[in-house]
Amino acid sequence: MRPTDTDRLLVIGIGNRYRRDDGVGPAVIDELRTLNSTTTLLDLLESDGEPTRILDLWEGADRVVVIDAMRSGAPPGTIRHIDAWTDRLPDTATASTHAAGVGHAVELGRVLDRLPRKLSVICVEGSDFSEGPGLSTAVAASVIGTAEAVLGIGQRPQHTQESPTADPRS
Amino acid sequence: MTHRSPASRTLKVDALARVEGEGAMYIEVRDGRLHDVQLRIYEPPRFFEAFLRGRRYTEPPDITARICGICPVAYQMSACLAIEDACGVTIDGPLHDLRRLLYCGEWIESHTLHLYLLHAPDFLGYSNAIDLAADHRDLVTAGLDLKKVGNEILEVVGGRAIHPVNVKVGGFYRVPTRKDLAPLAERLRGALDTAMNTVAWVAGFDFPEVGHELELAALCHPDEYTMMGGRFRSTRGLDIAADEFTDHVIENQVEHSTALHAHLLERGEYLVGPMARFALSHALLGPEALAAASDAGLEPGERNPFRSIIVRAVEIVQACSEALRIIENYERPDAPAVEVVPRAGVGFGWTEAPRGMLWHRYELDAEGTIVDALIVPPTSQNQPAIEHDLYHFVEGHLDLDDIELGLRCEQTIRNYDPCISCATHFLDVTVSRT
Repeated sequence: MRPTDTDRLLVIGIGNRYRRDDGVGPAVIDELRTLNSTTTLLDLLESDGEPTRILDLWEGADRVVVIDAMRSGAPPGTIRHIDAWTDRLPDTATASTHAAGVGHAVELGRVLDRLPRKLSVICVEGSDFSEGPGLSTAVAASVIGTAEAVLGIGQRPQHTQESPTADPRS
Repeated sequence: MTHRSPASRTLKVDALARVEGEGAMYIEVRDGRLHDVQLRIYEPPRFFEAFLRGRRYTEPPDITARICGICPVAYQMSACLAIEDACGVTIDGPLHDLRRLLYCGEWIESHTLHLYLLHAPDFLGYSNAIDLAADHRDLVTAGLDLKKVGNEILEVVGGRAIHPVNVKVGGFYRVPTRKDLAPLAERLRGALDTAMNTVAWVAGFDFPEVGHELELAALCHPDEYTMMGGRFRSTRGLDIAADEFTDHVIENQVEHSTALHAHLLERGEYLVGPMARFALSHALLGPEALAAASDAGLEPGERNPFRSIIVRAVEIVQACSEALRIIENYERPDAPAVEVVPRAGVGFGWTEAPRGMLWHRYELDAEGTIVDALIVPPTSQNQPAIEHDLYHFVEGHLDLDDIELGLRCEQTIRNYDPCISCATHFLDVTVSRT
């Protein structure tokens, strides 16, 4: 189940693991799973970034952090924290290998009153969005710092929970 | 991009908005005459056919589902049909109905996403869905809820909404109970109302008076508005079985695209997708969709690509009503799948993805290892026809400045709902005037 109380923090990692630095969102989710922190109740999900699916994922959640790659011209690995309630995501804030991404989800959510009460977007500047797995050196080095930033936002007792999707073959 | 309309110019759009995937458009005008129009798909080749060689015959449904996040069911179904064909197995009865139910979910999700968020803003003077939603909040909310019903079908039948995990060669890993499906029926009744309203809404848009003479082709089945199997027929008499496809369709590599271009042998460009399905099988629509089409003034001879948005809306009605009928008549299969024993041979499978026919061919050895795989997605088939339509559109609108021409060209492309991700992955437009 998705979080419905204020103790939980839903973290959504956006991206494609097979487009290099576009996979930084899922990589941070992986890192959060291994950190096994005891300070924040986390629900960890991944998304391809299709805006309406993001709206569905955070439906009912009170506090949400979204992690995505960005292409802003900043040095690779730069971490940028955006409060979606007080800041508007610039078009270059996030990178998407599809037509639309997190920025569209946030703005669509805003006009439809479907934003969580607290919504942070953490962007990591990427440099390589070509085909294939693996992050560039600078982006890989930013993963732990990004995960720690997420935990800093949480500041609650926690355990991790996998995606609610169950594989029927298991 | 330049902002002028001189006799010679080059228009480049480096990132076409609101289509699936990555590509570009290039238009070159010389001495006041249109010289070249290219839909440039620069997305790198994705090599799925090569990945499949050497894999087990059971793996294509899961591997090929990864080709597309919007139409994974189409890939799974075409793969299953082809492997089963190679192994001499035919799936019918409730397992076929469950597959069709899953496919209805994908049509609902894909068509609704394109209609509400990508295509409708073009007709109402909005540059994007966010501006549309700001002014028409209840409408867009209803549209998103309609799309969500499609997601829910994929979750219940397919195991999850993106890249379903419950599909296997021969059927499913688990099949739902009637109780599992009951909540979907309730949701689909509401969705059907929304879908009917959607047809009425889009039918009221202003459409430019244009048409094309392209050959339309789709899978046809004597008893149903086709989603899976059947024969590939066209508005000009083509009528072939799946194993005859490559005798009639050739794929060419072109320099400006990493997607192959498909043509009908000695006939040229053709078009697959909703307008082709409607042209060839409208009589097999359910009563709700037929009524909606009639009220919208749609005729099987419809050839205005801008009115494809109405056809997609009618197909959403069809998918909702069909899904509802399947659920109401559902009897849980005795087994979730039929056993499929591998054998050496070649199998063919094709189904109607939301954007058009998707063809798969697999060659297996006696142990069930894949020796060879071929996949022809709908956007590869439509790309020459889209360029053909673009060429004629630009030729008639050279008086527009580059910005307006670029925007109108993007709209023209969106009429076809291309999925560049499938054909290889989105759009950058270039107009050259020299």
